[in-house]
Amino acid sequence: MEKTTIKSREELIYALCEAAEIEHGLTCVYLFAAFSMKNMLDEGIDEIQQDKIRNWKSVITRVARQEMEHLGLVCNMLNAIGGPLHFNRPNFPQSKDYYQTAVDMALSKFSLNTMASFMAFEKPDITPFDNYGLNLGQIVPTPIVIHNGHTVQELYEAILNGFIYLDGKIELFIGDKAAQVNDDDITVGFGNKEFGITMVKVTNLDTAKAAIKEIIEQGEGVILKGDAVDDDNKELTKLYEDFDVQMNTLNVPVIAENNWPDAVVQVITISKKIKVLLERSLPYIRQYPKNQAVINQALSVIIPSVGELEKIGQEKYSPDKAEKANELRAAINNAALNDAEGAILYEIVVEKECHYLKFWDLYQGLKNELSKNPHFEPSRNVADNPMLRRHEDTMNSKNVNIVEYEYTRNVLELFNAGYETMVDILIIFFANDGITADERTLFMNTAFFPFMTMFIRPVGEILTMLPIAPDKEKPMNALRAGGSFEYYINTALMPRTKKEWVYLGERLQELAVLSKALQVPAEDLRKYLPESGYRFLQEQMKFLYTNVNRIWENFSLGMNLKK
Amino acid sequence: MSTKISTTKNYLLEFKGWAQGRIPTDPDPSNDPRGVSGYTFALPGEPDLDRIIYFQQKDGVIQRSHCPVVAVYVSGGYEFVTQGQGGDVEFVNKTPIVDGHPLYKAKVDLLDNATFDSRNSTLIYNGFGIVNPYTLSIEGKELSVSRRFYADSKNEQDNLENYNINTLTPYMMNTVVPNSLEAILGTDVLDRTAFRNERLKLLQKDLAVLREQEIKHPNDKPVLVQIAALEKRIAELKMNDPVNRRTNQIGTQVLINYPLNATTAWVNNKKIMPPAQWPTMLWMGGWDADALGFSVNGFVQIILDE
Repeated sequence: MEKTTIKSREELIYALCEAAEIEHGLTCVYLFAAFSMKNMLDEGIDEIQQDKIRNWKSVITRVARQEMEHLGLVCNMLNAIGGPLHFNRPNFPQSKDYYQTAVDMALSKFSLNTMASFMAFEKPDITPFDNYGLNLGQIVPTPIVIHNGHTVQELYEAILNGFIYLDGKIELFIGDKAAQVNDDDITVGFGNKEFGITMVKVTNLDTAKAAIKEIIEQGEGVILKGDAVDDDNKELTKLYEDFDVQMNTLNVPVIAENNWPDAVVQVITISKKIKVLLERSLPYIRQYPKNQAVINQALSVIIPSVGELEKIGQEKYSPDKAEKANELRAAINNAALNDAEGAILYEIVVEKECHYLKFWDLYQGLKNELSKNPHFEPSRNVADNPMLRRHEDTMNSKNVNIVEYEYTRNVLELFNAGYETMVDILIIFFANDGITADERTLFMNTAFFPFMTMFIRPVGEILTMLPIAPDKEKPMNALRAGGSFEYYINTALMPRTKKEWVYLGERLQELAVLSKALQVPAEDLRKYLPESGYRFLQEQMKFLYTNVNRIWENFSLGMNLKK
Repeated sequence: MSTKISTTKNYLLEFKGWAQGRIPTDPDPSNDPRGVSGYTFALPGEPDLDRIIYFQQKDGVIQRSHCPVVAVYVSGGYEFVTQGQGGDVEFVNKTPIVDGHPLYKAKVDLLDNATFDSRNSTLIYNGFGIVNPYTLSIEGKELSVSRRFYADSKNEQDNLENYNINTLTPYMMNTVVPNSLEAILGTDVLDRTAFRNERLKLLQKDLAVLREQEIKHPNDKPVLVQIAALEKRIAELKMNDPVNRRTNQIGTQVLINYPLNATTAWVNNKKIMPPAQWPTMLWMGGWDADALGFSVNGFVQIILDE
């Protein structure tokens, strides 16, 4: 399909809205994984593992904060061109077809597979400016037309191209400059650069570029303007480009009776090319020589797997052989994609602190721990996509786990209601339209600290201790829930009247009332948790109530609402 | 008409020393047990963070290597009697508290597991934490006293949950002074980056020794736990940019000005009703994120009926 560029304000708004959805969704997905991680010694981990898990969790929460920053920067870009703030997103899980990304947008606990999917979202595209297509000349753009498996980086490159194309052709920057948010507007935490976040006001093309640069560098580690790679790595970059092409073809089609043995032969051919490219890459792994071992280890998986495929391919088709062949291909893919590729990209990408490499490091760290102790389990037994209910946009989604345990359902209801309320407050904060400076400060002092830190995180973590369904047989082994970030209705900017504050006050009061009712955990939960876990739960729920109550009280006082 | 002359026995006690507060830091929840996203942590082998302010050695104090030892004590002041009221006060028998005085080096403590907390802006505005409960005790050879501060002196059963942020702010919000010269001079840390670098070098030496032990005994769990703890401290100390909170906040001073206003006080294990509030002021500064400790410097005026 011919690739086209963004050529109207409407298309630019459309693409920015998609970027906002993805950033928002990734924030939730990353936080879900972080919240699933163990932190108590009686969860089957020792002191050293506890520390490792804590450090890994710190990395994921930092990346999640930066995704929130990216969402804020997209808000600034939308504001700048007169677009609506877009905090909507579909419920989880969504298949990869939804955004035509490489992997599904789904909630899953911290694991090797989860880290691999995070890497896929943040994967750098080192070729300069891959255009992101929207069909030309349409009044209402069709859903994103782009090659499958696109990365977030490609979307931003398209947005940048759109800004460049439109600037000067139309009066692009028509937004209210006062609505722009920068570090000075978010005094809680943002002044501390070690939080890893910086907000850029967007008022012209240069600042739009700066905002996108911030997002891309943090996420994928690639510098824009085509100088994506270090000149010293030209040879390696060339090899990587060939490697990337081969990897894009390795996984199609599924090996089955109708393509036997041609598909096997195709996999063998591609895998051999991958092997050669990796071997040729080895001498160029110079900045991080330890990563040569990672590539060698990948080769130690790829080479025998190819050997086995060669034997199988000569045999007659059987379902078992096809299954085995698909397994071998998956092993080759994993070794090449999740191990070797990161080792090469470590040399190539400019920003070594980027999300992709952070996730690759976590993947390698966890893999290393598992090689020492295959029984090591860093996360709680959390179900994928634990939901209160199916929603209109997830009616046909696979792998949804409906929460049935009553106390857990109530805590999850509290979590989702709090999440929605927080988003409502964030919309008003970022819109900054018709509110006083004091009101804006109050919204900031409600949404960031304490709502994110004293509500979303603790409740999200508590949920990963709670059973998803009653289990009379083995309650200690029961699957656990997690913060599902469900939307029941579309969120939007409400009319800017005093009534809105009353509504938000009511929502916060409801949260206080519900958390009060939940402050004494169900006695039955003692069967599902070790003694220290139950005690921790008791303390947390009591503490939660006092804090939610104060959040409501502080908001009501600030807005002069009747209590 | 005769005016009753008020006579009081006074101790103006200056105190100083090193305290500990194992406190999670932003953006972690204020009760995070181990520390995740902030810059303070419970290390491998250490118990969970408890937020308690320790002025004296007791259960809960965790001594890390190459860090000061917790102890706050009377360092000077005066013992005297006052006669008169208002602007007509006469100071009598003013005696300096120096080496040899029964109160010199007396232990100064915060009782009842006092914590330092803002609860991420739910209790009070973030960064201006409250010390609660605030019960100061002085334990000398011949005199031991303790008395508490209440936000609402008319309600001595007060529970902070009964007070909203607006009510607490005028009574309990502290003053925070960044880059305080007093804190820098008081803690003797003139170069914060060098101070952390010096600690870093000491820990790196310790780590090298432990690594040798690890080679000899690769499965020695206590050694491995110590290594993990040292590695975490080293990694944190390497973050030593002057604007980084870890380094910068060594120069921050928190001023706490809660008068000891409870109706009653304890003097030598007897409950008494002092004739007046006991003024007190202290500052905490030189926050050492690696030690989870800080300097304390202050005074209290104990006023008793003669």
